Amino acid sequence: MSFEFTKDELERLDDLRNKVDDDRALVLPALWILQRRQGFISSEDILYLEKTLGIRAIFFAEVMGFYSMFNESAKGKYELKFCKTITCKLRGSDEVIKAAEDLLGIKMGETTSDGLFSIGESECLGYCEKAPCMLCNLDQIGDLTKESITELIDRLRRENASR
Amino acid sequence: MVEIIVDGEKFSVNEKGNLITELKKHNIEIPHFCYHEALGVSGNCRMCLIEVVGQKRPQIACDTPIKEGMEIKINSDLTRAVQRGILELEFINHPLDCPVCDQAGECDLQEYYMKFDKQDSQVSLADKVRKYKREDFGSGVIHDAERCVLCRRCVRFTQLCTNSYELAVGGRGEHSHIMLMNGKKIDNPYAGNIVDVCPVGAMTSADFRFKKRVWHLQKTPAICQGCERGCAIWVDSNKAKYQDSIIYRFRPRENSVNGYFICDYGRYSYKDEQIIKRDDSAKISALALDLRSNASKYDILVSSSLSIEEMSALKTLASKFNMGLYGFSDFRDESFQDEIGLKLRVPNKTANRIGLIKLGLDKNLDKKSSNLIIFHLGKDFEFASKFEFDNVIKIGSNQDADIVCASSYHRDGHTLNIDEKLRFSKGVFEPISPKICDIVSELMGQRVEFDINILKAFA
Repeated sequence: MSFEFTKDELERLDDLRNKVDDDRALVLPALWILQRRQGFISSEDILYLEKTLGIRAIFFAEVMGFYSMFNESAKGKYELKFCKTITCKLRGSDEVIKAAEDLLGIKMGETTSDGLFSIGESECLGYCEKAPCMLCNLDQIGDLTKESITELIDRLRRENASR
Repeated sequence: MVEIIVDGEKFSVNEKGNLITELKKHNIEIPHFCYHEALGVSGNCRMCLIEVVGQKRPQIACDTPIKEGMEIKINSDLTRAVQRGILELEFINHPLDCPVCDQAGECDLQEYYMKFDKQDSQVSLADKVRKYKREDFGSGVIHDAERCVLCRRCVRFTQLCTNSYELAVGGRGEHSHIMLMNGKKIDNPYAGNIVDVCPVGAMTSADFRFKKRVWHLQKTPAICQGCERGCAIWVDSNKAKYQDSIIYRFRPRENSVNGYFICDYGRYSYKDEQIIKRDDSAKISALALDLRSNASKYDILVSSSLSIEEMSALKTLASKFNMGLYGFSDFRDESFQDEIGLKLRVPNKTANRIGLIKLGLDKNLDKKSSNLIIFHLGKDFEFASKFEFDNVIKIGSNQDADIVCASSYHRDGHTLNIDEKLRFSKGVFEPISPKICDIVSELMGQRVEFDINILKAFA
């Protein structure tokens, strides 16, 4: 099932189009909508965007390459992104990452076979006062410890199993 | 025009112009990668940073507006320090493979390094970011991502000049690279210019790479004979010891007719313009002998590929022996014309149709005699089969010709382009085969002098 904008989303994009001089300003909002809904953006989706919005596919591809948080292939339902910069490292993020890897049985940049989790790293999240920190989808979680990450993963697993 | 001060010396420059272009007219070069006269200001390479007196920080010359009395320093310590810094950054991930790079000798990066930098690299080869070394971008363009300085000239060329949007910059930071969308190859008739606009060896021509070192090439200004536009080109040729001269490539020459670019058809037409080794002098003398006894047996057909000089020489020949003289200019190929982009290509694929008309040679052939002599320079003699004569003698610059003559790049000649502009093409080197004017002289038994006043009427 390939991605399609809803009527409401198209209206929002059209509103935006009226406010800007250059249509290329719609590139990021369109990609946001797509990624929030689908979790990733494939090259077919980019061609769909070109067709519906009339903006050249190569501009979308350029932006996708620039921003590391756009996914080109499917990721897990919960995307855990650990901060890889110095404050978190000093406060022991390596240990937390190791714990997460052991718990999930995957390495950085991989996705679990049940499609629930994927883990990766991110640049500084600006949350240094609560280092080590990470993103779980769009939620920022700070003061990570081995225990808290174990608790989080267990909770998310339980929530999804009960359905 | 306003006055500006460059290193204490006063120069008068156009206020609305660009600092790099304006100073180039005074033979002052400001190093730059991303700025190109045809592609405009991008301001991303920072190579043209110069000291502007009164400004806190160095400014990029390409995007600094020219003001009356402004003072810039292009050789000061600060400017040099900035240039060294920028070059150091450029060389962080550069593979330093000049010895095997085709661009060596005409590479801006190499020149600036020798001029301003000359430092050792502080990054070891093992630590450099490796990228693709040989990626086929299609249409004769080979991309080497490691040598790229990311000036975006190629990207802007596909956006501004050809409107085909094939290239873009993918990735970020040190992983940035020029990319194609979904691997879709470049497909436009001006792709060869991407190699020319690239200031470094990132884009090399599949046709020219590894054929010749550029410093061995001799460049001669000429006019492309591929179509009626008459684009200005450089012909790069070389004569190896004990061998014939070879044309290696055509490059666009900056000119008001074609701007900065030429099309690929013209660019690769050099392949049909190499020297042909064949001695046809016996045939020429036989024809001359025959003409003297019974000239009325022959008609002459002139194609629109000949120069004005050659046409007028043939006019003299025809009037002397009272032969029929006709012109042929129907080399039209509608598919050749381009609708979008640079619009340099004109459907008529010979250079001098307007000249043919102006000299009054555009007469249709009505068969008077049994023999026809066709004069044609260029790729093929296909059109000759249209004429039903007992005997067709083809005089031209390709293998199919009965009598081989010098090609249009091996002789000096004037043509009139589609806008009736007089174009002068210089002979690249002395040919082995006789020029058409020499053949005509021999047929007539006397030297044909060209009346320079004919050209004055067109100038």
